[in-house]
Amino acid sequence: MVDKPQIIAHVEKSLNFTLFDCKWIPCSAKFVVLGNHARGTGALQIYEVSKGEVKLLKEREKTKAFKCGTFGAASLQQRNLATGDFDGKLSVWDLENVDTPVYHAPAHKEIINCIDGVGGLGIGEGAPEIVTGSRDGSVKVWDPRQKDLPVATMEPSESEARRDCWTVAFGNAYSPTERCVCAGYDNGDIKLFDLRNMALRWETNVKNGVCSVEFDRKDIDMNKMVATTLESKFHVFDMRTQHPTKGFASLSEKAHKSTVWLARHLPQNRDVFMTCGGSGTLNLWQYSYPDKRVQADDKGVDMGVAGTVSLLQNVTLSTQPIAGFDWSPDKVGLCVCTAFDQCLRVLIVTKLNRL
Amino acid sequence: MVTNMSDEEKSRKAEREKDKGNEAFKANDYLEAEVYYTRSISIVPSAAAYNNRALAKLRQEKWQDAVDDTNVVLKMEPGNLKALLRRAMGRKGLGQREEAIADLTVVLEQEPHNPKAKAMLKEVQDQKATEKAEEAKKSKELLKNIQDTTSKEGSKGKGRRMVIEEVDGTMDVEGGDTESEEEEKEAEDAQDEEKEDASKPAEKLQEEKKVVETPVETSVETITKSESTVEPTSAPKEAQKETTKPEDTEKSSSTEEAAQENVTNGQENVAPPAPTPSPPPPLPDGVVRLKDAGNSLYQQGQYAAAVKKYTQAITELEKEEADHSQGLSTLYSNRAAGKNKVGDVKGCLDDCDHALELQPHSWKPLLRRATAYEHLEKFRQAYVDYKHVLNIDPSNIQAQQGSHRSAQMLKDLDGPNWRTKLPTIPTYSPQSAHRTVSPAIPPPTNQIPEPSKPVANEIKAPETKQPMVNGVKEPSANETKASKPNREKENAEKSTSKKAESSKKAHETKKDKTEAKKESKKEAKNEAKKEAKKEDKKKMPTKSEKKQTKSTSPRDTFLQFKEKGNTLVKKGHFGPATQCYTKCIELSPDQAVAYCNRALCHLKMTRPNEAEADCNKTLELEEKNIKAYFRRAQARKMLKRYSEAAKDLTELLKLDPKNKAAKIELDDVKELWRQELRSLQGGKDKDSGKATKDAGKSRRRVVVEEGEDSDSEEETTAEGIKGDPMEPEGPKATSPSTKRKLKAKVEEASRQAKSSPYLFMTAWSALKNSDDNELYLGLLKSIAPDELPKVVSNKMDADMINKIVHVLKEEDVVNREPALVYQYVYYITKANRFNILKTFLTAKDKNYICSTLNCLLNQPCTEYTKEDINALKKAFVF
Repeated sequence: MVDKPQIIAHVEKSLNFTLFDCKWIPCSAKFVVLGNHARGTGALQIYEVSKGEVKLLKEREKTKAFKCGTFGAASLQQRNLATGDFDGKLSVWDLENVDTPVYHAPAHKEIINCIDGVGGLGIGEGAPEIVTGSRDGSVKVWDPRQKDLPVATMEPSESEARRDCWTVAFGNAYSPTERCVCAGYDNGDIKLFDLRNMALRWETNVKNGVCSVEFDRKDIDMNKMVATTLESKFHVFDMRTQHPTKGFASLSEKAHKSTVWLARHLPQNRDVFMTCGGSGTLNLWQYSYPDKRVQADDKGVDMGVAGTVSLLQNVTLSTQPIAGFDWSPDKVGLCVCTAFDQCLRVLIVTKLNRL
Repeated sequence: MVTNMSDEEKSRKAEREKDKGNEAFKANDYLEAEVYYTRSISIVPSAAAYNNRALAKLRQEKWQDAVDDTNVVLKMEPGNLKALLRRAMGRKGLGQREEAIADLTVVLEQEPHNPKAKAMLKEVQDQKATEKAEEAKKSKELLKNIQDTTSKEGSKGKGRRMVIEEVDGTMDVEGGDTESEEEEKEAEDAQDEEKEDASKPAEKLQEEKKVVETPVETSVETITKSESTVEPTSAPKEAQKETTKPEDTEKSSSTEEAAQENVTNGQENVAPPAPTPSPPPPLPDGVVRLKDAGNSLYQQGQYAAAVKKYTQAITELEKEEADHSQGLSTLYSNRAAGKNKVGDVKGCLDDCDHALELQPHSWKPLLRRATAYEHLEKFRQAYVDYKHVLNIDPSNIQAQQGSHRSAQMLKDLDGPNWRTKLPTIPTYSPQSAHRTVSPAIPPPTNQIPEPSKPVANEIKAPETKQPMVNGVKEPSANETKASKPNREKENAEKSTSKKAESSKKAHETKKDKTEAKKESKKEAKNEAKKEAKKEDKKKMPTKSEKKQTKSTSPRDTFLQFKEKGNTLVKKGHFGPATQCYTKCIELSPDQAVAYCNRALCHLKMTRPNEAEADCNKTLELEEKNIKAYFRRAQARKMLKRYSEAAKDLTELLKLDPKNKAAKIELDDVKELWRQELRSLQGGKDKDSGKATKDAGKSRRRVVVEEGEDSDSEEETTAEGIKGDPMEPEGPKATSPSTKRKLKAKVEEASRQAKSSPYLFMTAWSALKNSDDNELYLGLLKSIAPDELPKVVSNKMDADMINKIVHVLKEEDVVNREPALVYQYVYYITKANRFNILKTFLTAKDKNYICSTLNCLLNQPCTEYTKEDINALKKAFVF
């Protein structure tokens, strides 16, 4: 079919350090790349897309390698980048002046694997908050206006084994009070924490380590969530209806023939998302809702019904895993990804508005 | 949340909400879609959002709501075909076929080939036809039923067909949205205008009630109305409060009052005062309307729109010829608030500067500027502004918190010497300034002169204040005391004669004007304004001014001497410095600063008595002078009156709980005091250390045991800080109320003591801190001498023996009731473990007891013989 979206590699640039994450700077044609120099120091670079190429605007080397970053809690005026590093430190940087962080907290004892933000950029009601997940097994929620102390900490009790937290995501932030954090662990656990009640709302195990979780939207009443795992699988949960015993309805799908590293929803269409594979492939998916999203079980209790996903496009970009991917929040179809072959790629996905 | 966003952010947010709505719509979640569209509309009302919401409502068969929404769209964009089509659908749903047909024809006129419109039109017409046909046949009731069913069928069939098309439609709308944005704004403006047209008086009333931005003008107006006799002044409540003080004392004539009010205004600038001789010209109607519109927009949280209104108002007002500096200032100040909310910090700063240029010392723009500076992380300026606000209104919580915050930041940035890097804080009024500009405290214990800035600072601060100090407030307060007889006379006189007198004074003030100018710019400005006012109006100058005129001439010399004294102090020449300050005092004896500084010199020259006297004087003039307390404490420490020193320091710490120097000093004094006590007790008791320990213990015990009476708990612990049992000054420290309480306790105890030795002991140990021998005696007398061993049992200790004997002798019982004394002493020897106990008695104690017993010998008494006494003595000594 000619009408299906195409994924076009617009620019490809080889760099001399390991790339972990990339993020578009909101309201601009610039993006930030975070990574790890060979000597173990942190790399932070800002690029601009102009005239068919990427131009390095700014580069800083920091003492500790960066693992992840987010603009999710930054205001549109400030656009401060929050990063997590290998030392467990959470920092917030003013990109105009990257020499010293505007906020920093010794967040975790070990590497911060994942970070997410909400309440900034006009996405999500309520206070700006950052959530970090770390190898030390804890998930902490931070308010960049409050120094040193996390707003909330979710960690296993002393007796329990501490699992490596690989991914975190905010969701359900549709009112100033409601907010959820979803965390995925290396043993396949997925936990949904309700920040309003400070309680574990739901948990499940998907058998394989969870590499990435993401809600289709952070700022709506939870709709659906994608969780990607090792062993080439991902799951889509319908988060609208929670059954008291069965939890959320889900579907699972095989993809990439290797670890599915990431899933990222298109900011302009919540039912389209990209998954990034360990074999250097990108898959574009569309979710279709079932005819009826809710049905009653034999006892008359409402339970959700999962829809279906269809593969829109599949493209191989690299031989190494693609570990970083970000959709441009401003231009539909523009995205950037980083792979472990030390390349960053700016991609264009076409015909997304015809879906 | 939505309130403090810029236009761009708002439109972005609205757009986002609309997108979310579209997505939900696509997921067939119409209710949710409607929610998001509604949100989008509440942020920025846009035709697209209304249009989409209409569709979402159509899907939920909320026909009427859908029609309402499309009506809004058509108001915004009269030719919107989609809206027309949707309205037609809604009307069809409502059964308004005629209207539906009308809408559809309009659509078809525009787009003759619109398949949707055609289909629908046909359908509606068919319906109508069938309706008519059936109308002929059937009764009205039946007809209605059929109508409903057909309409439902029709709409359903249509609806399904249209799902796809309409979704496309919504996407189109998204694209066309940006175009509609301009119109949105227009619509917004239109709304605003509507609001403006709304009845103004009602609005004004509302505004007055609301906390946000009480427009000064309105308040001015109300005041003028209410106080028709008084000159129209813009004195808001605070200023009025100030004026009430003089009013109390000088109710003689209302004109005088008015004058005074004016003066306080001019000096205080609590709010934009009336700088012109005439009442401020009323703002032009257009400007008032704009401002009101701005205010209401601000209250609604539409800050950007409010800023626009204010800007318009400012440009309008600047065109006016009359002097509207006050109104302009308010407008600038309001716009600053708006800009601050919008995030335009620089603009906010500029506006505040403008406002302050026009009306210096008005706290609102100052506060706003401070917050703006804080936003920009210019904490120094922020701190200065906050302090300035505090000078004007010390109770302003926002300013208090702000200054604290920025002080913290500055401390972090600049270290402990951050104050030195501050720009000078504009001074404002003497009373508040003393509290707020309290510089660091002089060095605690070492008497070496420090070349440090504390002294310099301290001296500088009052200096700039100087003109003010001589100004209105203090003198007026003094005046009330000094001129009482004078005033009475005046009261007797008629007001006409007073006027004559006052006009003379007015001339005097005129002369002084030049002098005033030299001293400080702002002051000069204020005064000049005030003077101008007075001359024009031929008002009665207040008494305070009279005072001012007198003191202005020596003021310069006063300043000179003080300055000289300060430099001498810095160099360490305290003798000459003292002379300088003495001259200062001679010149104006009501200056606390001079006394305070002289006290410092006396201290440095180790003349504690003089220093204390000076401090006393300072504190008389100024109750809350921290430095004076500190210096008096030092002086008293030198005089070894530690308890008093401690009292001063605790008082100081009450005023300024964070004062480190005072804390250190207090510890020091307490330590010295303890040593002194020990040495005092050492004379009576070998084991004095144990005594103090016991005291401590008992204190704690009391706290627990008297749990039933929480008050006494506090009292006793408080007592522990204030006084100590053996301290001769102690009894003074005991406040009458505590004494009463203790007494009550003793009475209580004495009532029950017989029944319970425990209670006796409790009461006894509670008294340990009171030093009141009477109470001890009362307690002692509550038990018969022969019961003493039983009651006290094994709790007796050397301390207690000493105390008993001491009490008996001190309270003169020895002479009044020698028999009783003998009995008590006798039964002490009968107490448990007495033989062991007496080994704890020092030689001095024993001597004391013997001398007491010797006293007994001199008394004519038959109860005991010389032998008995000697036996007792032996019992104690051996």
